[in-house]
Amino acid sequence: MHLICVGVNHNTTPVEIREKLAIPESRIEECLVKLEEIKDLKEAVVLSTCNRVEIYGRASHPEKSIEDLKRFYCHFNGVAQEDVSESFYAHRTVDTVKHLFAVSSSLDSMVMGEPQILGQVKTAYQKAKGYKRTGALLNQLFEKAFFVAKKVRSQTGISENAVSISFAAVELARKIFGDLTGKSVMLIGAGEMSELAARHLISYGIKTILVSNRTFERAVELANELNGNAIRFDNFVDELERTDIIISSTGAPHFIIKKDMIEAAISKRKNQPQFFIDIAVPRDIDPDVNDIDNVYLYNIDDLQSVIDVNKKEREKEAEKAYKIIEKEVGTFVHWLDSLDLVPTIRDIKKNAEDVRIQELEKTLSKWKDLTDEERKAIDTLTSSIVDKVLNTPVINLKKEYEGEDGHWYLKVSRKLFNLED
Amino acid sequence: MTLFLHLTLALYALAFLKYMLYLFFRRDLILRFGIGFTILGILSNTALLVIRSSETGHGPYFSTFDNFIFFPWIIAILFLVVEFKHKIEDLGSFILPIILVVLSFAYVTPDVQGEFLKAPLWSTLHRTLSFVGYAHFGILFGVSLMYLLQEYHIKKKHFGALYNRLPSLEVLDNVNHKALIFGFTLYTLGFVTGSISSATLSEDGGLSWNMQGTLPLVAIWLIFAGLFVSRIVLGFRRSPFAKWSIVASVAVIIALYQHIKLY
Repeated sequence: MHLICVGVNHNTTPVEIREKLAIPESRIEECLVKLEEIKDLKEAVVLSTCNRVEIYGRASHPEKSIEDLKRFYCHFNGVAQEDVSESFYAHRTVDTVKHLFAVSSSLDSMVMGEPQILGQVKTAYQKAKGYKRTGALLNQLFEKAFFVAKKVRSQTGISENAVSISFAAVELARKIFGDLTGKSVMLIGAGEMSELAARHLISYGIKTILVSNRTFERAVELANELNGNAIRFDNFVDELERTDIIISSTGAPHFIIKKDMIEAAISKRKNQPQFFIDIAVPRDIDPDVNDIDNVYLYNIDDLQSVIDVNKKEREKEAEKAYKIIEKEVGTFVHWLDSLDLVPTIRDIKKNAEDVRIQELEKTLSKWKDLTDEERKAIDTLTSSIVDKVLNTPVINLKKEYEGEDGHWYLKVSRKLFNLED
Repeated sequence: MTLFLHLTLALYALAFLKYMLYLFFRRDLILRFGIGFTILGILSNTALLVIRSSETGHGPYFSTFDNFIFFPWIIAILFLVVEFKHKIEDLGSFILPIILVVLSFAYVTPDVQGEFLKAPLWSTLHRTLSFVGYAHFGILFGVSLMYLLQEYHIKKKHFGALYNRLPSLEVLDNVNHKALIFGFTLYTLGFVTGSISSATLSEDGGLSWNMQGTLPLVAIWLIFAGLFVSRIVLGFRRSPFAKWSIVASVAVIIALYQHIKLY
């Protein structure tokens, strides 16, 4: 019994091929059903996101099943196999476990530490479970993967810091204002990036949105989209004292917000803090503004440096995460091994042999006058009795192990012969 | 009693160690140990106070030694309340050092029994309220330190490991706000009961001011009042408030020392 994983992801395969092999959500059920045609594949989970398509499974003959799965991908999507056969990666037992743990913990994601992937893996697993395509082994594997992902999340800072400009801005705002509910934001200049940042801020509860732009119509347009109010460009200065967060991105060739303007505003605000985000190049806001008490100014380079630091931080955290994963893979593989047929049969035989030797020695020590020949005969006799008694159960166990309920038989056998760990 | 003094110090020190570890390793278990040791420290501190009081026959107010074992107890309780209420998990790293320093002073202070004053009710009220007021200054000091550290990260754009750990400026400023209001109110009540207490004490029933002893307390009240007015009335918030809180806390310690050394 082996665990396998066959698939493509953003590291190995360009998007042109990934999109050909992708399995849309609406076809997951169909896919799970069709996978039953691969007889050797006893259990299966299909994971399909924009960055990866992977099928996890349990197989008795891994190499054959891996080739079958590659063919399946092409057949299912109507793609010629020659075009894509080089793109697949395939993992076997230990590597499959390691791979799934890393994927669930978001270490294999395009943006390392992004939180969506765990939910996607969970959904994929629930679907397969719903269609009864998972059994004891994949259930255990995926449950363990979720456990590991949570552990990585709580014990490392892998998802702690923002790695995009707009999220970095939101994160800083939250460090300054705490809860953003009820705070206000003003966009000066209606650029794409400030719109994106505004949308993130809105999702954190910001209610009051003002948009100011040289072309008033554009301001109105964006204000409507964001459920805010447009103000004329000449009037934005009057609104400064009422606004907590200001995102500036105009094409002005010189500073449009100067230190004295903000000094006046902040004193009217009774020292309520203000956060300025200047994403314009050339800059819109005089950098000296940052020297005013309770005023915080970030330009595009500052935000970029925040992200760079965060990315490095995540890479450092990833090393910690891999250590956690390594340890968990160890425990899982140990459990897996303990399930295996060969060690079970070996243990059964060893137990019986131990009993035989023990009893034989006890008996022979009483019969001192036996000849060597007689001793040998008794030894052979007991040995063949033990072999014959065990022969049928072992043969039956081997046979049943290949069937649907293989794991169950194995488990029961270990219980009956008292081989529990 | 000495045993409980050692035990209390050891428990607070262990709690501090755990909080420092939590600051860097972020394990819930470590935090739970930190809280656990603080609670045990408070229990041991309580036992210390009870034993001391049964030995002297009155509450732990009347000698410098008493002060040094009573103050840590109040501030530790207050710190746990603030931590639970505002979920500032790293407060321990900033408050426990204050507790440890004050408690250490008990070791170098001669364990003489203070003069038992004749107006225990007013006197007890005065001292308890004043101490709770001082404890709020302790919180103000620790939280302001956290505020300035966090502000340094944001303003100077240096993002060390602490940046992620410390709470937002808003949360810290809120705690400062409450510490100021509660602290000022309680201290003012303490001040008033103190005046009544010394009035009752003086034989002719009139007010008799011991200038040397009272002046530092007036100074502390003025510092508190100054912070209160500038914040509530003049809108002196956040960053400048945190800076002045630290200056004020240091001034309070000096004034308090002047006051205590008379007893």
